Amino acid sequence: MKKPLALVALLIALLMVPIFHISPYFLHILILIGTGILITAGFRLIFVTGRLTLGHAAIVGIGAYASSLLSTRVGMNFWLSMLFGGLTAALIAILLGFIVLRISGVYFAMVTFALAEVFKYFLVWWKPVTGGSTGIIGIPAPVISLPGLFVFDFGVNKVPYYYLIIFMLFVLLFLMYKMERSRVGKALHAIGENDLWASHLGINIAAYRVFAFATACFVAGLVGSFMAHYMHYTSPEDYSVMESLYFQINALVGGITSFAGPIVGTFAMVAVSEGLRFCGFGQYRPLPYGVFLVLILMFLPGGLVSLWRRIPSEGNDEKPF
Amino acid sequence: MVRRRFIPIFVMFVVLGTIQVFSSSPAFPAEEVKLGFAYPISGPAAQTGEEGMRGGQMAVKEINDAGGITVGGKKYLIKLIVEDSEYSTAKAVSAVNKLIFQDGVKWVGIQGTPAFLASRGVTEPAKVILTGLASIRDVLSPKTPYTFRTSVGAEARTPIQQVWLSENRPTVKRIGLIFADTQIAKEMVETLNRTCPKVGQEFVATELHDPATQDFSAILTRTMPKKPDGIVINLATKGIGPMIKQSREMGFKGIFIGAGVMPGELPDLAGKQNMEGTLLLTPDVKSSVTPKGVRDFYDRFRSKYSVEPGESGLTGYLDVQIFAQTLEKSGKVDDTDAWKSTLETQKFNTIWGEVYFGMKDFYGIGHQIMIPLLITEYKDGGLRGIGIVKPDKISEIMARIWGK
Amino acid sequence: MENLSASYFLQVIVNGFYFGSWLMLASLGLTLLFGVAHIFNLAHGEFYMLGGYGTWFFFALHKINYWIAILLSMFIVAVMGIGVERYIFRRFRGNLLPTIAVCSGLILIFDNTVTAVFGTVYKSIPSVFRGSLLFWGARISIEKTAIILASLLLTSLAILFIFYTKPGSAIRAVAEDQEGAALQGISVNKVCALTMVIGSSLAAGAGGLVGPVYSISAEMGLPILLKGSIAIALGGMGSIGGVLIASYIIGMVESFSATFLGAEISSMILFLTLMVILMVKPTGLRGYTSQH
Repeated sequence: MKKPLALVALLIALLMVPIFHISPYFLHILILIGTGILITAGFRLIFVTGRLTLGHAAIVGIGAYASSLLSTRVGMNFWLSMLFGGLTAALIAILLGFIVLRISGVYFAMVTFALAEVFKYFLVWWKPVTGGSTGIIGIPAPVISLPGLFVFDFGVNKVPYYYLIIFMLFVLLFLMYKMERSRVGKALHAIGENDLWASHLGINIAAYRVFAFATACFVAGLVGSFMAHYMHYTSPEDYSVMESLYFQINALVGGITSFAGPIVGTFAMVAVSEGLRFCGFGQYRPLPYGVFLVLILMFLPGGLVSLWRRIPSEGNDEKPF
Repeated sequence: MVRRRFIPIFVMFVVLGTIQVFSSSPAFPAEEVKLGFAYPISGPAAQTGEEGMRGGQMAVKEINDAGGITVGGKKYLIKLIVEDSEYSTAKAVSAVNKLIFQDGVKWVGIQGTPAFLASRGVTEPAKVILTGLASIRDVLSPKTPYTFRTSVGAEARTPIQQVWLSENRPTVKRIGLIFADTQIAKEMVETLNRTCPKVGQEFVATELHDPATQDFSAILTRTMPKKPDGIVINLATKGIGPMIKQSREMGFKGIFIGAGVMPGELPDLAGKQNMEGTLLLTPDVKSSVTPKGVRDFYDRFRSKYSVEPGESGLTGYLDVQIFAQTLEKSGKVDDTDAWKSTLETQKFNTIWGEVYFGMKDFYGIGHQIMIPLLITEYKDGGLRGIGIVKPDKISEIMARIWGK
Repeated sequence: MENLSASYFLQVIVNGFYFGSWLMLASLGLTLLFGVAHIFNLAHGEFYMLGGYGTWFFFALHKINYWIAILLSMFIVAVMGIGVERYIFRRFRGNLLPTIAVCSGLILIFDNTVTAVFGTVYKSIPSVFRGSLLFWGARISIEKTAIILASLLLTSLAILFIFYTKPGSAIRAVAEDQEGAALQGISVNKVCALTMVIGSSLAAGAGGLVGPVYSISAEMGLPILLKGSIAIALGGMGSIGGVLIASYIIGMVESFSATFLGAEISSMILFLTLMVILMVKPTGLRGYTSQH
């Protein structure tokens, strides 16, 4: 099959990028795109099962805070704390999921909206632990230490972070892709299409939904941990509802029906955002960004992915909301 | 079909990468020394950020027009690179990263306490000098040897104000605090707890609120029964205008004690008569208590930009002056350790007169700039300068309040 | 805790009543639009904000009479609302994800246009009313009293319109059953446009009225969106009676918990209450489970 070849070529191209003495700023953008893709892919996964969440950024925040607290207060090494960040997010997803995923449509969106806000207020309220509205500063950089052999501290250099996120991207996206292609994935799509029909087919709707939700949240938690350690800083501001909206925008602009949608969409929207910075829009960047967004949504309802496929853009799936 | 999907992405990467290679910053001309500012030019603090930027730009232009600075016998022009921190700590850190690693800057001026704190994580390991405007005590410590502060912090400002009040307005006895719940708030509470008993005042109410709030009815309902004579407020908080208005409507007849930098639009937002009697540390440039250097600076700024500078404008200008003189005195253009020693040991000739960095006893490291504080009152719709507290008196008061 | 006197309680109640009135006015449009056109207008807060800016522009800047300034802003925002509904929302009618996404775009556009045109400095609208009323130890500024009265008045007018006029009954018909109404010859498009007019102008009015109490900024729309969403979800999305009751409940809960427990906890309580209610009865207190 030609597919693995293209992927390997892509991987090599991506790995070579830092070698061209790319400016740290450009790497920074790529890292942002990478993290955005993963979170957006998670959002899409939840959407596929028929649930629109407005609080995904809060999940990222749970991962970020859990791992940052472990790194800074307990001195845990990054790799473990990142894992814990993902697990914490997944655990909370499971606990809440069974209760909350039963609700559908707008109401589910509202609940996730409310949850995200509660999370933010909770962070500010529990000041002694979370640092309140100022957040956690001085989060240490990851360190790879093979005892006795060498110690490599990521430090302030962006390149190791870049490689890490590329690694995470390939591994996690690969796993998510495989999952979606498998029987599990088909069940998830079935649930998204029509609850009643799926249950008549013997699919345990609740279990599958929670599984998808937990997976998406695990990924989001990992990414949150990564970002907190990359920025060396995190605060409640980074996890507002507006942030959640950005992931939806990425997914929708890319094309929600396709797995590649989040990838293309994130890339496009970050490119637009940064491109506008180069065009000198400065602080008014969100304006053309918003215009671009509205235009794409109005004239390309299937998302950018529909440009590739020769399938007429039939708009988004008729989800019974 | 999968192939088709991935190739365009691959092509995009290559193209973008190529553009980036060609647009990387070229080596800078040898006759320039660089200074970077990471200021909030956009966002909620845009006005103070812009002021600070202009103050710095004015200083750079004045120095460059006069021929630049002389370091080790050679002439250099100053290049000021300003990055927008957009009032977000994450963006400030990105901006500082760009200044240091992309622009090759070795001295960064920054505005804003959270930004200041977070940026040290980047500047210290890179041995870059960091200066600027920040309000809390923790920004200076022996653990951050390359960080210097060019403004006076709340741990000094508040005791100075309270002491002044106790000496000049003894009827203001019951003190309340309504403050945005930020890092500074904790320090303010601690400071007032220490200060008030020592100057015969009673600290009767503490209210910390969400910085974005505009409605203070609950807070005021709780505070008014405690009958405060003076309320300490954070002038820079966005909601403070409405707070002042609402407190008057709720029957508050006392004065406000302003901490922080006053934004120019505050009297409009709060209502001028509501602000009568407010005590601040913002300079009144028409007053004779203000040092001549500062008054001249205001005049020049006003004629150049048609708008009043504030304290952040002063700090921006000061940062550049200190930068210029540090390079000249140390004789080095990129040796930050030499700069560090110069900063710690030399005196500088600035708009405030002669200044130096000190207060090692208090902070553990002598990196606090010693400039006077100007006591100002808001009266009859404008600022009235009524007193000046010189650095020696500041140290004395600090020792008195913070000493064992 | 000192001073648990009767006047203290009264003050808290008065504060709560003020919140509730203002919230009701600001949220009515949101619930109407959802009930009638099945659109969750995430950009509702923007109309509120634009109303505030409009009032500032006409009254503070150009010295036009305060009340006329508010009416002018309401009119302008209503026109914008029609435009948004006709050219944007109609394309996605019913489909939640694109609606939310496009609203995000609108929020970005409006916020930044306003900042670009008027600057980032917060604006203030001078108070038209000075002084406060004092009764039994509780104080309320005359300004806030006026807001309460105006909110009650505008809301009553809107309700009277919907329940006692012919266009109003068309609105109710479409809300209950879109297809049925269409079969009766009612133009669903026109009804949606009308609903948008009512909704957006009410929001704009709320923004203008409340301007003097707070300050005007581009970000003032988001907290309204948050609180408004809670109000309509609590009351039942699409239910007018529901949003009325819910607004006052929220107003009181917030006033009491903010005064006695602190602001953060009060917000948490509010959101947690919402969550619990939605989990137990997703359609809210008075919402009906109508099919869309």
